[in-house]
Amino acid sequence: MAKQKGYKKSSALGEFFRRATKSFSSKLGVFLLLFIVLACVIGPFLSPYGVNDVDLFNMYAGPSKEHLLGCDSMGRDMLTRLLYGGRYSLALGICASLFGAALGIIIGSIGGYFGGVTETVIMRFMDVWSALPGTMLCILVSNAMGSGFFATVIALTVGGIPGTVRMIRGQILSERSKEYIEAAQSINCSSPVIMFKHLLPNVIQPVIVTTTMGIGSTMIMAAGLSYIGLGIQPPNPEWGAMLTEGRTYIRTNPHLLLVPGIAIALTVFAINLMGDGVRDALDPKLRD
Amino acid sequence: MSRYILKRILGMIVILWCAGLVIFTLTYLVPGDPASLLLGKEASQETIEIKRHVMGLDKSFLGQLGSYMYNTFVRLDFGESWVFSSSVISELGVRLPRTLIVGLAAMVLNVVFGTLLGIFAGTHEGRWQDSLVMIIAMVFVSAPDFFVALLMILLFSLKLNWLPAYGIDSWKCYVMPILASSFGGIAINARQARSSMLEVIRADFVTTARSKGQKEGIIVRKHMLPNAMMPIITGVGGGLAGVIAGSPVIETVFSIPGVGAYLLSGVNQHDYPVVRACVIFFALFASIAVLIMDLCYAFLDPRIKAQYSKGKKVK
Amino acid sequence: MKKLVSLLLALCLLCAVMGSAMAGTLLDNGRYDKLVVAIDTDPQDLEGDDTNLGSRYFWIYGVYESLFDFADDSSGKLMPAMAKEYEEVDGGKSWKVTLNNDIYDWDGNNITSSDVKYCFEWIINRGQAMRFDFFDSIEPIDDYTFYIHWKDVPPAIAELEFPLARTLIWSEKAYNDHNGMTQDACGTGCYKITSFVPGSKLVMEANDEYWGLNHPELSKRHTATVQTLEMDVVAEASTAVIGLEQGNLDVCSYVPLSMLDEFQNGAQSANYTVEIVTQGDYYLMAPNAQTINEDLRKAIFYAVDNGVLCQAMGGSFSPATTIGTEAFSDYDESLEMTGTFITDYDLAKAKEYVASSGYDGREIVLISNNSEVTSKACQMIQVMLLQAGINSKISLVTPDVYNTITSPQHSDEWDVMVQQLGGPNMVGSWHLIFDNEVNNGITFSLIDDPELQELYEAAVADATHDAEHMRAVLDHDVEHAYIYPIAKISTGLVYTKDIAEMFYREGYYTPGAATFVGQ
Repeated sequence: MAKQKGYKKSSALGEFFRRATKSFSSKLGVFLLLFIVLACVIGPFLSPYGVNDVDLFNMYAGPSKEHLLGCDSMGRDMLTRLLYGGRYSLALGICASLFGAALGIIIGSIGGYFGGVTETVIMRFMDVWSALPGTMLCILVSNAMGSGFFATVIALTVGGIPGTVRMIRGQILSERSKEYIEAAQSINCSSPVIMFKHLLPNVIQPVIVTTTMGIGSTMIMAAGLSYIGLGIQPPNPEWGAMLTEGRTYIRTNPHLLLVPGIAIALTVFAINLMGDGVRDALDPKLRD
Repeated sequence: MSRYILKRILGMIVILWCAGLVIFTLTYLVPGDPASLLLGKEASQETIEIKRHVMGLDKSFLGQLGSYMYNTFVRLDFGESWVFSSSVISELGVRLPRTLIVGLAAMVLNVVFGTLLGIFAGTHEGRWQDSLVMIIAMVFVSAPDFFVALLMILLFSLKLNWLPAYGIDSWKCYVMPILASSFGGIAINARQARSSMLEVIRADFVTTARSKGQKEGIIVRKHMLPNAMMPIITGVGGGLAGVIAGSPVIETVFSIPGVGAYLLSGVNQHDYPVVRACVIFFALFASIAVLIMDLCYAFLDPRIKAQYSKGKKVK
Repeated sequence: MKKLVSLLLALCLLCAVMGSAMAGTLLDNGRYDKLVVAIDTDPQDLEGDDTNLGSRYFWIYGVYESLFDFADDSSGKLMPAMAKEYEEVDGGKSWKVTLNNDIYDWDGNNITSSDVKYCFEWIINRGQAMRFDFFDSIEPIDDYTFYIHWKDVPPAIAELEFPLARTLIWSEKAYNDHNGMTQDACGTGCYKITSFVPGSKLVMEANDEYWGLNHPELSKRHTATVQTLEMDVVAEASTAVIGLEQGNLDVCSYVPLSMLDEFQNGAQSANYTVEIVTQGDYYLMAPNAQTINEDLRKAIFYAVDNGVLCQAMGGSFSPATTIGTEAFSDYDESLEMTGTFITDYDLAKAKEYVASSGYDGREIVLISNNSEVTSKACQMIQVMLLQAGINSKISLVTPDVYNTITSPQHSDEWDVMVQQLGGPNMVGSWHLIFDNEVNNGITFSLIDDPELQELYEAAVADATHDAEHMRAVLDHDVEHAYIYPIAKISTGLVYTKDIAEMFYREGYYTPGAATFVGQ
């Protein structure tokens, strides 16, 4: 605690990072995640095998010196596919979470700031929206839109929006009567400027926490979607799709199931550890 | 109180009605003609036309929507499956208990073990017990439930041959589905309960109680627990809706013919009466869960109670 | 003394053999006591309607019956079932059919001509009357005789398969008494349904009052050799295998070939018999005849090695050697297309044809349903085509998009389709790929070839439906490289050693009519 004084001059962002990685577990989370992301981005370039290189002599091969994680049912190198597929899975998780947060923030800010009829309409609409459970909506939208990347992002997004909208709107409600907003209004700032420049930075913290934590659960949801035959489909090596392919061989070649499953769990684990750190960093109660 | 409940129930009906509207439109917009999909490429045009008429697809969008809303919400008739000619509501009636057994049992495990673990961790903050519980919770939150389920099959059915891997014949069949769908919830509840406990531990009234020399056990039971309950109830309500809604995946893994599996078969076979009925049903269930949760709040939270009695006085 | 001992020993041995053969599984009435069969799809309802066949063929013909059966010997001839006989009138444009007069369902309702009429109209009005092209109407004459009027003189009995052998007949009264028979059936068959839990299991008992017990002329599939026949719904093959291992299942027909070893040679080989069943379905590749010229088609066909392809597709496939499989009743050895691109992979020839085709290096579009199998097949084809210098991209679409895109209006959106095909017999399966009536004068893969149509029609017509005419179609196909068959589907049928001989009909096995050890 004594050291802390030395950081006084650091920027707000630096302060945030320092706080977010204060505990051992969040440090572990950040490093693990960085490692996974780097491996997925760079790994496939370093691999001697292509993602879809079929090798009929190595079908179902177990881990060996040539194929560190073995080969799948078509003799494709599991490690290469795992790293390549990680791009899909991570991108899905991150894009869907960010996209959902952005939509939620926009709708929530509009509702919370304008109040009145706008707010009522938006909030009633959110009531209906949230009455349909997120998993159901995800399944239905995915079914309606098909199996592309963007379609899957949308499907994964829809379930979480009402929560974000409610959260933002609730925060704005308690914030909008404060003096600095009145001051901004009195100098004729336009509504979007007040909403996004003055109000948003003060209400966005809980959304940042839920979004960070949400990346992990979104990845799990994406994998679940692939498992039941929707979302990203084989041959694209998304982790959920790989897991789905692997379940057929649960008895004979369990490594086909274990490798992608552990990859998902490990990544989500890292994201959650990091999320805890972010939450602690933003929690005013925990500030020294 | 009854006025509050009535108001909430009316609101729920309106929401369900709107949900019906949304779900009908959503399924209507799915590309492809369900009749020709159902009959395949070999069906003649004439047969397809008859099938479209039988399925009610020859009407305009508004006509279809109108008769759907009328049948569903006025006559409470969910129609017949398009693929199979069983009535959707009777099918739901048969399948519902199976989903509920898994969902509710998992829920009970979530609440009991989650809360206990959370309190245990919270009261041992910073010590190894706390870290251990939190690490386990983190692992369970991070592992996809169907992956855990598959691992359980690998271990308990294939290696040890203790439990059947599929079916609904005996209580044994339900052990793995319940466990698999409760691990995530236990972990979430444990984390939730722990953080509520931590908040309460730092509260002034606990410090006061401690300074009075109150026994630690009594502090935990009398002062901390009741105050930490509120967020836990929120977790339970959310979790209840989540456990039921999460059923498609777990039911697929264990071949349990429940509501979730029914919804999925409807989605895969473009059997929209089934899809619509299942979704309305899930929405109804989620609404009831939220309602019960809110009522618990109203009973437990003095502030909400006060608000309600104030309203009564005004009248 | 020695003689006595050896006699005693022999007697003991005999008793032991008989004892083990009788080991508590055969009942006094000669039936096997209980057989549990895995089915991969939920029956969902018990209606007497066979269009959503799926796994229904395991049980539906034990519960309901049709007018005629196809003969057990796979000759494609009709044999009596509910109908005793028929006689052609009006030059074959109508049939006068005589019904057996002693058919009673489980409730005791007698089946009459009006029930037949009702069942036909029922299936038509529900929009479920598949392949009723020739059927016009039923006209009852009296209780047990009626006319079937055809729209035209039917060219072949195979064309009448659906009205005659796939339309199930039940009593109109029972239909109303049992609320449409969706959850509570009432049929005439040799098994009675005793309990049905949708999504889980279907239990049947042998019907002791079955009308057909007095009719030895019926197909063997109308005999109940099991007392209690239970169908358990187990969707996943890997789960079903666990069920077999744990002894909860007796029969499973969809064990992937990759999992068979254990039952053939491993620990379970003492308890189970394994048969490799080739189904009447196969996978094929059909180039778009409008966008891919003949030389390029040949290049593609020579470049693809279906042996390797099958290995990649998974444990249930073996390379096709003709457009069809030996499971079809009209299959003949002379239809094997050895020495053609179907069996011979030749990269050098493929490259020659690429050169002569004027192929400009464009990416040809491989289109298919997004199933796991076809997606693997497409990936493999892509790799093989690349070796011959043909660039391609894969487009995996949902069934509805697939149906839309493969219609003639969208002919420029795809180049090669990969799909599964089946049919009542080999020429029947060709309907989709060789018959130009599919798209009003052009075939499914947009072939516009009058000569092919002529050959096809000759092969289909009853009088000339023989190996020679079928071979002519196949030779024409090879000459112009229209269709390339990829794989036959074979799965492992694993059943308990208590079954001495499985019963087959039309390539489908029928566990309820199997012969058990000791029977």
